[in-house]
Amino acid sequence: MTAESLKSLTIDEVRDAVAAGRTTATALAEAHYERIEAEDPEIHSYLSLSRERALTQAAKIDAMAQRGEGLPPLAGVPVGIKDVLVMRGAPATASSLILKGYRPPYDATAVERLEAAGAVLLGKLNCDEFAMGSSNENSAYGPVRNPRALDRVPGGSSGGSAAAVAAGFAVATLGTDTGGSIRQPAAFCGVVGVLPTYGRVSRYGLIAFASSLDRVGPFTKNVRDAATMLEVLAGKDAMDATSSDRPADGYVEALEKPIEGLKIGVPEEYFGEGLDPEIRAAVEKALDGLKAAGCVVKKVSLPHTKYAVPTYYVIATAEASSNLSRFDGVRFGLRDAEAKTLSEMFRRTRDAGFGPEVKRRILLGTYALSAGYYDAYYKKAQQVRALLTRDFLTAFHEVDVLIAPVTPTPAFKLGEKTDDPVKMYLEDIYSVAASLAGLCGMSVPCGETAEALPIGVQVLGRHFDEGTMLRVAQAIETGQKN
Amino acid sequence: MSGHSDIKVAGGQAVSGVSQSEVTIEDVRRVAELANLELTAEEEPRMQRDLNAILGYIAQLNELDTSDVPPMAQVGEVLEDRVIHGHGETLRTDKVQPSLDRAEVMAAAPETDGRFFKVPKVIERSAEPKSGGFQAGWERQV
Repeated sequence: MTAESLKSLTIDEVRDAVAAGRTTATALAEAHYERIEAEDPEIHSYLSLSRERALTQAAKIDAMAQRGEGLPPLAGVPVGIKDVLVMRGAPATASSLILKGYRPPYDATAVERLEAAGAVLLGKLNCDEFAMGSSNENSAYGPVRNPRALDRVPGGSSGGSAAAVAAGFAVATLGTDTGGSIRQPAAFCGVVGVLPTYGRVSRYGLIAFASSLDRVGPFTKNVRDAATMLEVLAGKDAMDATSSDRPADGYVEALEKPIEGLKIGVPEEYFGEGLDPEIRAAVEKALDGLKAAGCVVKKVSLPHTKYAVPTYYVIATAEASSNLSRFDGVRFGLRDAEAKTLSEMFRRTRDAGFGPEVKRRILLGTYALSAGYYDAYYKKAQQVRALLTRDFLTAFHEVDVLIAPVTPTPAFKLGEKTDDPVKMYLEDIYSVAASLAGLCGMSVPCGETAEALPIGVQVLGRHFDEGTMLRVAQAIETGQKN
Repeated sequence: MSGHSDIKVAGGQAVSGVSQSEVTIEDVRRVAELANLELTAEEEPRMQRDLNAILGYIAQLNELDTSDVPPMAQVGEVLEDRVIHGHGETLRTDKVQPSLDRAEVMAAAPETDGRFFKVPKVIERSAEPKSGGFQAGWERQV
C-alpha cells in the first residue's frame, strides 16, 4: 500500500478490502505504524502508540475474515484516540504533566464501542492540555503542526486527532468538543469533524473539562465515514447519566435521502465583520450549491450570538475549576514528594503539574464561583446561555439546519496568538454558541484559500437530528467534487 | 476588587452587575489559595493582567437584562422529553454492581499501602485557619 493511497483510505474501503482478502487488518495497522514512525516526528500528532493491543485486535479481525464471517462496521479500521479518553493500560495524559505516568485500569465507553465494532486502536493523540485551547499549543508535550502547512497550527483542542486523519496516520479518530474543539481543527486541517448532540455519545472515561458542554465525536475523511462512526458511538450508556436513550441508528441510511426541499438557515450574525473574505466566499459557494440542489435558503437571526464567547468562558472555566480539583496528587499521576503537609502537597503538585492556560482557567472559574461574584458571573452566564439556546430553538422552527463558517480565519501560524488569551478565545466565536445550546454540528471541507489552506463550513442541526445534518454535509461534500 | 453595583443599560433598566475595577495581586493570591494553586512570583502579575483582560471582556454580558430569564445549567432542561419525565429520570436503580478492581486502582496511586491512599500529615499545627483544601471548600458558594 503506497503512502498516498493510505492518506485517502476510507472506512468502507478498509472493510471491503479486508473482507475480500485484498489486504489484512494486520498489514493495514503495520502500514499506518510505518507511516507514523516516518512522518509523525514532524507533525507530532501521537503521544503514545498501543501497538500490542492494535495487533492483537487486527489478528482477531483477520481470523474472522479468513473464516468468512460477517465483519462488523469498523473491521480492521485503524483509529486514533484523543488523549483525554482513557484506554485500559495505556498512558492517559490529557497532554498534562499532572497525569504523567498514569495508566487507567478501564476503557472509555466510546473506545470500547469502537473496538467492539472491529476498530484497531493505534494509540493516543496529542491535544491541548485538558482540552483547553484552540491551537494545540497548550500541550505539555509540545505542539502539533498542521499537515497541510507545517508553519501553521492544526487548531485545537483536538489538534492531534484532526492532523492524524489529514496526514493519513489513521483512517478515523476520536476527538472531544467543549467549545469548538472538533469543528475548528477539522476546518483547519481539511477533514470532517462531528460534534454530536449533547447526550448522544457517552462521556464515560472522558477526563472531564466542562461537564455541561463536553462531547465526544469522530474525525473522518468523508461524511459517510462520519455517519458510520457515529452509528457505532451513539446510544445510551448506563455509565453516563447524561446519555440519551433516543434511537441512535440509521445515520448511514439517512445519507441516501434527497435534500430537495430542506430549509437551510443562514444566521446573519455569523457573517459580520472579522470574517475572512475567502472563507465567506467559500461558505456562500456551498450555499449556492445547496440552493441548486433544491434547498430553500433563508436568512435567520440569532440575536445573542455576540455574547456566546464571554458566556462560554464563564461557564466552561467555572465547571473546569470544579472538575480539575480532582488532580491533587492523591490517587493518580504526579505528586510533589517534598511537601510536609497535605495542603502543601496539593498546592505544590498542582503548581508543578498544570500549565499556564489551565491555571488561568482554574483561577477565572474559581473567581466566577467565589462568594460575592457567583450571581454576577456564573448565574448571569447561565441566564445568557438560556437566551442563546432560545435563539436556536426559534430559528429551528423555521429551518431544518443552519449553515455558517466554522472559524473567522484559516489556520494561523504557531505562536501568532499565544500572548493574548482574549484573542485566542475569539477563535471560538462561531463555534461556542452551538456548544452552549447542546446542538449537533459538524465541519465539512468546502474549499481552500489562495495559500491552499483548508476552509470548513459548519452545519448545525436540531437536537438529536444528526441524520439531517449529515445529509446536508454530504451534499456540500459532493458539490466540492463537481 | 469591586462590589456589586447597578449598571444602567440602554433601555434604562437597572441590572445587577459588577463594576469593572481592577483585579489586584492580592485578589489573584486569594483566588489561587481557594483553588489550591501556588503561583510563582513571575506567574502572579501575568495572571493578574490576563484575568483583568478576560473579565473586562466578560463584562459585556451586563448589557443584557436577564432579570426574567431562568438560569440554564444543562441542555436537558430545554429538551421537551426531559421536562415531561421530570427529574430523576436518569437515575439508575440503587443496586450493587461490580466496580474497578482495587489492586489496579491502587497500583496507579503515588503512595498506597495497598488498601488506602497515603498522604502527608493532614492536621497542621501552625494553624492559621486560612489555607488548605477543606477551608477553601467552605469559602466557595457552590
